[in-house]
Amino acid sequence: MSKNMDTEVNNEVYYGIIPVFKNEKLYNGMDIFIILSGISIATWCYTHGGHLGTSMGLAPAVLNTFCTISLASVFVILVCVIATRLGTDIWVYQRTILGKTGCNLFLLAFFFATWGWYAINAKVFGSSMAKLIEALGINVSAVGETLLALLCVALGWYVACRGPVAVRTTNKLMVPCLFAIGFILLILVFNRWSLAELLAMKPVNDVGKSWESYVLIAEWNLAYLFAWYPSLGALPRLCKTERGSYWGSIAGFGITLALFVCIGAVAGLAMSSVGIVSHDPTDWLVYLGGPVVGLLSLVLVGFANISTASAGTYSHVLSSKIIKPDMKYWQLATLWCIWCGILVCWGGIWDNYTIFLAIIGTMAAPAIGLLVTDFYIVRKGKVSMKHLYGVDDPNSCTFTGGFNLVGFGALAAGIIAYFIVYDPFSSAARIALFNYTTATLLACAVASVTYYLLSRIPALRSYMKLDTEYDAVSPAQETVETVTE
Amino acid sequence: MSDLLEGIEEEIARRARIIDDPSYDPGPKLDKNDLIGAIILAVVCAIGIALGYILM
Repeated sequence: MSKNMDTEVNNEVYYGIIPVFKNEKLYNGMDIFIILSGISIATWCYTHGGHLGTSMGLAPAVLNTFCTISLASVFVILVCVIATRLGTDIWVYQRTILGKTGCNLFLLAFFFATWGWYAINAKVFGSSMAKLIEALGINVSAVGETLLALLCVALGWYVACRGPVAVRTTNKLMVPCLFAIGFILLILVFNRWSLAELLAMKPVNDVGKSWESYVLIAEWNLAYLFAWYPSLGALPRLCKTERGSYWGSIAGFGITLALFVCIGAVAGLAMSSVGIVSHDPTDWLVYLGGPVVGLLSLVLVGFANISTASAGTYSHVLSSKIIKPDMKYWQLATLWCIWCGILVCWGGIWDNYTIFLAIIGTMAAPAIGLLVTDFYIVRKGKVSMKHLYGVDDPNSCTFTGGFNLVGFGALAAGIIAYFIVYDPFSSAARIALFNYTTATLLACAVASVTYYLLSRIPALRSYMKLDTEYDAVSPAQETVETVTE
Repeated sequence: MSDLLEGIEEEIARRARIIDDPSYDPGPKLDKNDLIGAIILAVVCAIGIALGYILM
C-alpha cells in the first residue's frame, strides 16, 4: 500500500468506521461530558423547555423534566458503553440486529429526520444574528435571517471537517458560552420575578393538573432524551474507559441537558406571563437583558450554536459512513449539510415541533431497547467484531436479503405499540395504558421483550447466528503487544 | 472496488482479528460501584417525579 493510501486509511479511524484500539482513544470522561454538553445543551433545550413552561406550572414542570430525563438516561446511556467497549459506532453494531441493508435504510430514514435538530439550531443562530444586526439599525428580512441560519450550518461543516480534535477544541471554548447563556437567563428571570411569583404563574397553554397531563409532559421529555439515539455512539467510541463514557455521558446527555431544559421552562413560563409566548430564547434575552446584556447574550448564542453544529455534524457524518465507507468524509458532510440547509429553508420542523419530536421518539425508543437487550442480555456483552464487519464471511449480517427479520419484527412491534397508546399528531393518549407506561417507554419495552423472546427460539437463534457467531473467531494473527507498540 | 475501500477493509480485518482475540483488553468494565451509583440516581429521580406530581 502506498504511503498516501496508508495515511488515508489511518484517517478513517477518526473519520470513518474502522474500529479504534484502546491506545488510540482520545477522550476521557471529562472530555465526553464537555463535548456531549456542547451538543445537548444547545439552544433547542430552550425551545423544548419553553414548550414545557407554557404547558404546566413551574414546580411540576421542573421536577418532571429534570427527574424524568435523568432517570431515563441511566438506561439510555448504556448504549454509549457498547460503543466504548467495542471502539466502534453503534450503527456498525446494529448490523447484527437489523441486517446490513436494513441498518443502512434505518439510518437513512432516521438521519433524514434527525437533521431537523440542527435546522432548529441554525434557526436560533439566524434569529440571534438578525437581532444583533437589527440592533445596529439595519433591518433584516426573513430571507436574510434564513441566510444567516445557513451560515451556521456552513460554519459547523467547516469545523467538523477539521476532525475530532478540532471539535473538542471548539467545544471546550464554546461550552462555557452555553453555560453562560443559561445562567444569564436564569439571573435575568430571577432579577425580575421572585420564586413565589414564578411558582404562582399559570401556564398559557395549560395541559391540566391531572396525572394524565403529568404523564404527557413526561412523554415529551422521554422522547426528547431518546432522540439522541443516533449520536450515542460516535463520540463515546473514542472514550478511554467505560466508566468515563457512562458517567460522562449521563452528566452531558442526561443531567446537564435536563438542567438546561428546566432553565428554558422557567424562562418560557415567565415570559408567557408578560405576553411573550415564544420558544425562541433570543426573544427572551432581548426582552429581559435590555440592549447591553441582551445583545451580549445573542453573541454567546451565536457562538454556541456553531459548536453544536460542528459536534453534531461530526457524529452524524461518521455514523453514516457505514453506508459507503470509502466515501470522503467531507463529501458526506457536505451532502448532509445541504439536507440540513433544505430543512432550514423549509422551516416546517420549527412549526411542527411536537410532531417532529414524536416521529423521532417513535423510531428511537424501540431501537435503543433492541441495542441494550441484544448486547447486555442476549449476547451478554460478547460480540465478534469479525461478524459485525463481515470479515471472512461477507454475508455474516446479511440474514434475509440484508434484513434481520427478527430485529425488524421487534422494531415494528415497538412502533405499533407506540401508536396504539399515543397519537403524536394530536399529542393525546389513545388508551389508558399510556398513563402508566408512556408511549416511548412502552415502545422500548415491547421491542426489547419481543426481541428477547424471539431470540430464545432455537430456530431463530440459528437464523440470528447467535450460537455460531463465535465460531468465526479465529486465533488472533497479531498479538495485543503489536497493537500497543 | 476502489483502492481506498480495499485498504479500509484490510485494516478493518486486521483490527477485528486483534479485538476478537481473548487476550485483547478493552479496559475495565462497569462494576458494582457504577451499578450502585446508577441505582441511587434512579431512586432520587423517582422520588422527584412523585414529588412533582404531588406539587401539581
